[in-house]
Amino acid sequence: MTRGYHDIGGDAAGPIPIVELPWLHWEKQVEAIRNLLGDGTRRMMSLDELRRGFESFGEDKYRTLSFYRRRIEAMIDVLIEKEVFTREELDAAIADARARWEPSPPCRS
Amino acid sequence: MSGHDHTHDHDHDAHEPLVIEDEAGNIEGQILADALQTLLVERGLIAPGEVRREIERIESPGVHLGAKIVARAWVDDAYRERLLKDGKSAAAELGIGVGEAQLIVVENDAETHNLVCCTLCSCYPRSILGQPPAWYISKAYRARAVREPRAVLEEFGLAVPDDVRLLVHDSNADMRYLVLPRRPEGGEGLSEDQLAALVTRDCMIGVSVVAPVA
Repeated sequence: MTRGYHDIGGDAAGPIPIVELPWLHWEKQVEAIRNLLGDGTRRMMSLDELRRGFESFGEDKYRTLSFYRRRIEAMIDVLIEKEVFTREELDAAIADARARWEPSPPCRS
Repeated sequence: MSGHDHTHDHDHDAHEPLVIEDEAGNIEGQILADALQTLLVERGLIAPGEVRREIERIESPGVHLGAKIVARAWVDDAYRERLLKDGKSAAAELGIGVGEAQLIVVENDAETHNLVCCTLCSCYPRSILGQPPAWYISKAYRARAVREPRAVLEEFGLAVPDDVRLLVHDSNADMRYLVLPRRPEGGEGLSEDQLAALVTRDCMIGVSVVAPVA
């Protein structure tokens, strides 16, 4: 029987990393956006669609991305698939967002 | 099925650290989230301010809601029975809405200890416990909780005696589990609120038990 790469119940693994991590703002944004898109009025992103997104985007990506990165990447894939926006439109929005984060160039005297 | 006939390779070391972002990764995540939110607002799919309000909503549930349910079950047998029969309705009786899925409450007793996990992803009773802890969504917990739960519990400092049956519940998108821990010894004279204060998140996941009252 073939198992998906997310289907890890029963696999060998090392010690449980018993840590508590802060929940960061962008991670909350990811959860909030998914909840809104999946609510009763929008019905644009069910949990099953989200899971299908990251359970099918490849094992390497799945294993190297953090939990919330996995979720936002899957959400983006599904929204592009649904033609809500294109990859180019997203790239442009990312460039705008990045410009707000990057330090201003040093002043030239 | 046999244990290891799946297709993906397992020649990597069995030790799987938690995948977390470094500072640059978190900035990248923030940029991505901002870009996505901007696009969705531009498309009119999300109203400005709606994400902020949703964040407030998902931040508000916490362990106290689960603790309230547990304490009520400890002091009110009829409630306990209703809770074990239909968790969602019993939570609603206390004004606690479980929006995401069905809620199944499993009771610890002298013969049985219960443990909750989600092997496939991260299903968790978020509306009554808040967000799951990082270890709950770690690969190690997801993989091992169903195979060697006693060893996992020992890592949490909990030794479950051999004559106690250990039941592991694998959550999914439609069913969330909550452990009803045993009422602590020595807590007979405590009020419902005082009892609720003793109930921790880990007791309701099943990686811990409520400590006896001194």
